[in-house]
Amino acid sequence: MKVYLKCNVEKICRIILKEQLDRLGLKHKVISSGCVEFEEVVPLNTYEELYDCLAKYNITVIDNNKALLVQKIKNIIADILQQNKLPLIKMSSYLEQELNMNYRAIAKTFVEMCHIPIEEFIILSKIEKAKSLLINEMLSLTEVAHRLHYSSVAHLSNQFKRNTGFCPKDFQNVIQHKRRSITT
Amino acid sequence: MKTAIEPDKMSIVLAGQQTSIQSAFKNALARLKLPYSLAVLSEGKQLLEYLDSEACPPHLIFLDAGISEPDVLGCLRQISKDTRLNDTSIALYSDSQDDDTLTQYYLAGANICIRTPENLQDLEKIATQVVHMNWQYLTNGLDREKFILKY
Repeated sequence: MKVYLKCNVEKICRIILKEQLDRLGLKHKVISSGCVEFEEVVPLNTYEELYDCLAKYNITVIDNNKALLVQKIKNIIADILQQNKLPLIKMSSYLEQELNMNYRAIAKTFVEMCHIPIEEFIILSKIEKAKSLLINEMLSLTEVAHRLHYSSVAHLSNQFKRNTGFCPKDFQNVIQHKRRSITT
Repeated sequence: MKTAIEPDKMSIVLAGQQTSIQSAFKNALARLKLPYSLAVLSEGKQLLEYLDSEACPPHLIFLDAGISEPDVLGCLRQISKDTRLNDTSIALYSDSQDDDTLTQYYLAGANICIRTPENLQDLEKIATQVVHMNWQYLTNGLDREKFILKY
């Protein structure tokens, strides 16, 4: 018998992180999604042990400046989608404000590291969120368009099709067909 | 922290017999900025033996829907039985496919179905998009159950 689950990955990561940091006796504070502040300097051997422990859960400690910037950008985008709150200003200005950096530098680093422009990454992230809302939460297209701040259902539908090649309804049908074929 | 281990390069397999199509894929890959490795195979049996022998499963397979011995559905079913290949994406390409056939491919484990365009430069563009999209799935921990594309 198969049961489908919905996971809050963000919460799971925080729980795992807290468990591992507590186990290593590291006094810490979680600043935001993807950022931990330690009250004291972490000895190298403990840092390496932490690195290895987290790697077992597919969690990577980022120690490269460009990779760090990219992860901050991705975290900002993920937070916006998670909280369903679009910033009131343009995304480029919002990122400049949050990261205290010129957008041109932000965009250049992102495309160099991720092989995709930030704008396309944002669309990809929104479409992934749309897929989750359609399939896991069984929301209607109208509800998904509203939740993700699309100007209309048609706008969402067109962007979905451009990104996946499927209209949302056909996509739902294929995924649901796949799920049924696994359970039979 | 981030929740996906980033590979050093994308390992790609190209399996099929049409040399012009294979050249188009190779041209597209040669222009990539992200690092990759490529294995080229011609028959289904070769592909399955290769997958069985590799210590590290490939990240992406471009598979000709007209492949033989075994045929494409045979290959897909064998691949889907091997849990080591759960994170390997499969992109099928074919000259013509009706919607029912495409659905069969997705149900058998294909992630991407490509209707091979007449213009091979368009195929090169599609191949580049597929590789970049697959890279996003590899590096961002996206939900693979919902990773299906159509070109």
